[in-house]
Order: sequence, then C-alpha cells, then structure tokens
Amino acid sequence: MQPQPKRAEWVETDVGGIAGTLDDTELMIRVKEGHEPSFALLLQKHRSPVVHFIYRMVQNAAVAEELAQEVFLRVYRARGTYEPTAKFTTWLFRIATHLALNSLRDGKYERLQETLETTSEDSAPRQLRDAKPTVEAAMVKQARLGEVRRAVAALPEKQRAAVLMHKYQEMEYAQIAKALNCSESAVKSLLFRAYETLRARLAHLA
Amino acid sequence: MKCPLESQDNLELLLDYGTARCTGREAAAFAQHLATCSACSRAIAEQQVVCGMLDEWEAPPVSASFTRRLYQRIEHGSGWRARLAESLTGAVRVLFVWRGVPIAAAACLIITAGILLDQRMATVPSHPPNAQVVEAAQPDQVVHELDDLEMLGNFDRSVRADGNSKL
Repeated sequence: MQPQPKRAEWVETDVGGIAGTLDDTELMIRVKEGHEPSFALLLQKHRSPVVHFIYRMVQNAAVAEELAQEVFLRVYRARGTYEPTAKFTTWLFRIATHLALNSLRDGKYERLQETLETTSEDSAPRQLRDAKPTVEAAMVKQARLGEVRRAVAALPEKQRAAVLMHKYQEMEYAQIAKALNCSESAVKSLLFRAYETLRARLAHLA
Repeated sequence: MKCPLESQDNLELLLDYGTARCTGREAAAFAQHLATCSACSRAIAEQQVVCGMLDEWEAPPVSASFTRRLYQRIEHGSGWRARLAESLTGAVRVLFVWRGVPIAAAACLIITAGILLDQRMATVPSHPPNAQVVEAAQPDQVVHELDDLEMLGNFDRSVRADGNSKL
C-alpha cells in the first residue's frame, strides 16, 4: 500500500488522476464524500481568480490573500452540506463577494490600504509588460493605473463587484446575479451604470 | 432592433459588444444598429477604451505560501472542531441510549418553569411602588423636611427685603 501524500503535495501528485476529467461540481461532490485531493485541485484551479477578484475589490494584496483563505476555509468546512444547485464558481464567488463587502464595510483594513508601489512581503515584484520602458513611460503607466484603481474603488460596492466578475472572471449574468443575490436585469442595470461611470471618470485618459 | 440606450431592453448587447463577448448573429445585428446610431457607437467606443484600461490593471501574483498557510489553518481548525464534534456526538449518544432521560428532562423543565412562574405571580406587589416609599417615610423625616422648607422660605424673604431697601 502506497503512503498517502501530504495535503500540500496533492496538487502536484494529482492523486487518482482526476485532474481534467471532472468538472468543479463533480470535484466538490467528491470533496463532500471525503476525497480531499479533489479539494486540492479545486484550490489550485480557483486560488488565483479568487485572490485577484478580492484584491481588486479591497485593493490590498495582503488583505486579499487573508480573505481568500477564509473563502476556501468556508468551502472546506461547508463541504458536508454542499448541494450542487448552482455552478461551483457561483457559490465560490458568492462567498468571496460576501467576505470582501463585509471587509470593506468593517473598514478595519483601511490602515493597510497600500499604494501602487507596495507589494506583499512574499509576493513576486510586479513587472511592467513593456520590454524596456523608460522611467517616464513607467510613471505615466503608474499614474494611469492609479486613476483606474481609484475609479473602480469609487464605484458603489455592488457595481464594483459586478464589474469585476463581468470583466475579469467573465461570469455570466445569471451567475453574477446569484453571487450578488439579485435579479439578472438588476445585474445588467448595475453593470451599465458602472461602465457608464467608469467611462465618464476615465474619459480624460483616452 | 431596438436601441439599447433608448429602450434599456438590450443592455446586455451594449455590455457584451463593448467587452467583446458578443459573437455570431447577435453581434452582426448589433453592428448594423451601430452603423445608424451615433449614441450607441460613441458608447461602444468609450466602453472599449475603458476595457483596455481595465486590462492594464494586473493583480499581483498569489504568494507561494498561500496553500501551505491554508492547510495549516485547516489542520488547526479540524483539530478542535473534530474534538468538539466528537464530544457533542458522545453527549447525544448518551441521551439516546438512556431513552427515558430526554422525556424526564423535558418534564422537569416544564415543572420547574411552572413553579418559577407561580412564585413570580405571588410576589408581584398589589399596589404601585410609590405607595411603598410613602409608607416607608418616618415622622422625623417629615418634620425635618418641613423645617428645611421653612428655612428656605425665610432666606428668600430676607433676600427680597435686602433688595427693596437698596432700591
């Protein structure tokens, strides 16, 4: 009998060879049945999208990782009661949105609000896409990014969440509606108003 | 096709076309509408600029320790949670083994509640609390209060008399 690998090694070893053969819901059902390597696969697949979504919501890398950990902890703890009534990502982003909005409302992380120049301690430094950007070009880009971040941060919470799910996660309207607990038509209206506001706020950068 | 900006019916067309998620027949129909509607054309152009800017906003990479920290939290949580669940399960099992215990406990609870309610009803005062205060006042206290009132009255009169004499 082969020894069971440690939890942190599950992703790399793909116990049972299930990666790529099962969808998220099937993997989560296996997690519910006690197959923990399936959880590792879900984590591997959704870790970055969840962290990035929360990062763009709260605009702080350290807080985003902390909240994303809480999201996956809740998924793991709720595995026993999981019912595949909606897509797994809808459920995941509903938890993520809930935690991000609560964090913003609590405001307890306000002091940690980072500037564009700061990075979390153990994260790799950000790199610019341009091969050899001049200092001036880098500064212009940073300024533009700052404007974009501020424009997104100034959106009302629900509009912000809707735009981030629509633009970066490419979620369907029905999924966004379930994640935000509102109707599909309300989501379309939220998105239209959000993009309209962004168009007005960022027009001077065009 | 109805103009999305006017009717608000096809808002998703405006959103999807602007974010390059609209394809096929829908996209072709909307492209025809754009050729005749300057407001929608302008909105789409601006939308595409905004999307380009949003694309530039990259999130930082997830830290290498993320998964290890998460599993540490799971291990830590599962330790005390497992113990709690185990002890609760044990307690429930004991109750079910002793089938008479839940019934007896419920009966005891009802009887205790009844006794407490009965005692509370018996101790409720039949007259308002102010009456008790009046009854508790001693005759000496009343005399003392009257003396104080008289002294204040005398003081008031003397102050007024002084005031009149100065005028």
